[in-house]
Amino acid sequence: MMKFPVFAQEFRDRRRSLLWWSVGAAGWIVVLSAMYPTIRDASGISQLVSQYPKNILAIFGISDMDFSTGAGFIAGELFGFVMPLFMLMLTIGAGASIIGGAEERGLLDLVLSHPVRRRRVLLESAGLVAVVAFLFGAVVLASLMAMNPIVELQLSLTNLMGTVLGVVLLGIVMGWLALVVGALTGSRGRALGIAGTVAAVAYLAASLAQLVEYLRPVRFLSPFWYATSGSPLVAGYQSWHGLVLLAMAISVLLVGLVRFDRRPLRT
Amino acid sequence: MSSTPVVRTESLTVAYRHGRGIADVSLEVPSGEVFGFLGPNGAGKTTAIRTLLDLLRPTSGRASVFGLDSGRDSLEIRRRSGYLPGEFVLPSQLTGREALDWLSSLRPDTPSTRRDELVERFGVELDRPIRQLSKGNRQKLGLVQAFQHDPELVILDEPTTGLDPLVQDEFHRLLREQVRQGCSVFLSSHSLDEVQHVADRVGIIREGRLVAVETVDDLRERGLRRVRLIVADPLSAVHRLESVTSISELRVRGDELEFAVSGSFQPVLNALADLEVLDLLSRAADLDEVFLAMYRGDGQQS
Repeated sequence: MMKFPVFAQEFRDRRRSLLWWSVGAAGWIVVLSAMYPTIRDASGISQLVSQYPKNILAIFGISDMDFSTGAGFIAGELFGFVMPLFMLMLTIGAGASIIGGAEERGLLDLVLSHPVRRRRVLLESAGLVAVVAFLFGAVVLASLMAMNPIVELQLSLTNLMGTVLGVVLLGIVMGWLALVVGALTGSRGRALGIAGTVAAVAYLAASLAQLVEYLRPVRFLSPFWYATSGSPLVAGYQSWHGLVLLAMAISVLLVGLVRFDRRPLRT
Repeated sequence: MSSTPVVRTESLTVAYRHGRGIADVSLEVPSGEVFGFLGPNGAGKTTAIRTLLDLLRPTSGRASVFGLDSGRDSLEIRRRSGYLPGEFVLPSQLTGREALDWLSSLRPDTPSTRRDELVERFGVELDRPIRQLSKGNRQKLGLVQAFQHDPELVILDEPTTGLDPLVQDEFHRLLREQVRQGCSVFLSSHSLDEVQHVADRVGIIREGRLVAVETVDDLRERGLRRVRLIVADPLSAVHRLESVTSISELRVRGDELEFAVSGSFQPVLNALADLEVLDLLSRAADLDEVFLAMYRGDGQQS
């Protein structure tokens, strides 16, 4: 019989949406990369961008925008905002609906009337969110690797993998947060709302901290900062950033494991 | 067979923040019994049932199933029982077969040996997506999943909701067979009729409190009936009926008499024997009326 029945069922549920998100993201990457040679050769654009007020660029996550290299272009156009956004919509959506959504629909009662521990339900669900994040990350990585030689982006493979890993880990942190909020409240809406708000605040904290002096310490709380700061595509992803994200994800999950076990389920 | 009761609650209390819940429910269901849990909607039947399966936790008191603690040993309890929730839902994009397979996979230790037989018996639609099924057909799937692994105890929350009468009949037959094979049944219902049909004993719950536990025979014995009678001479009819002790709530409106009868009907017929009866209508009292009668009975005893 199936080893991970909770996981298996949820994966069936999610694979279609994962497929379409992947197609969308790959399409986006292909079109964006294809534009690169034109933009690179139009020398005015880099200058134009560099004249924008720094704060405006920071809010849009393109502070390290440098269109003269492929890495700068992809970092600014893709990893600054769009790719993390795609990732978070996917993982927060999955995390919120797996347990919170199941409880709302009345499905969790049925599952937990079977000889399955709540911890196992939570762990298998967390595994599913992680798999979704990694699969989506793999699609992004593969699309960029495919476009890399075609349009001469000259991306470093190591840096690219590190950058994608940062976004994947960010997706796992926020997806697990949504999962745990769903498991503790039994509400998909609350899970989406809370995880979405945390993500938005974390994003602002990470990008504004570069500009506003008194916000600088706050960035150390923001998973966004650990995922995207320091131009990972150009300079390489710092592994301690990844470890911090991992620690954040595990802490969230531990809270869930302790509290979900003791909670009365809603009808 | 061991003497450990299959289900036992001791002063079980489950409090919710907004009232409701159950308070101080103590009951015992011996092995091999069909126990009917009877009460109006919102009385706390579902709360009690979900506590047995550790979906809710007792605020105080305790519940045990197979002599095992409902919290600590929940996994073992759930392994040995089957459950049909009051609001039975399945992932709507799955077919019936896929859904049953999935639920079986949550019970790797107990193979679904009885599925085929049950599917055939209830005429379950297996190959259509669940979202296309009627309420009744979904409920049939619910029955199959509760019984397919041949559990020692089945816990059924309003199992016949949405089932047509023929299927209800088949379901009642299944219950009787199960019990003959040593299975125990804990079933909730808001229908006195249904519970009387299938249960050995009935626990009556109202506003979270267990007000009575009786055998179905006792319940039937004092079976409350409502009678409407039209007679040619209402005055002498009233006069005679007033002396019948099993009659209560006698009311007269023109030539129409209305009253409740508990227990045997014979004294009523005797009293009316030489009167001209134009019409007589008798029906089983509904649950609220039974409750009222029960409270009156309690009052008299004390």
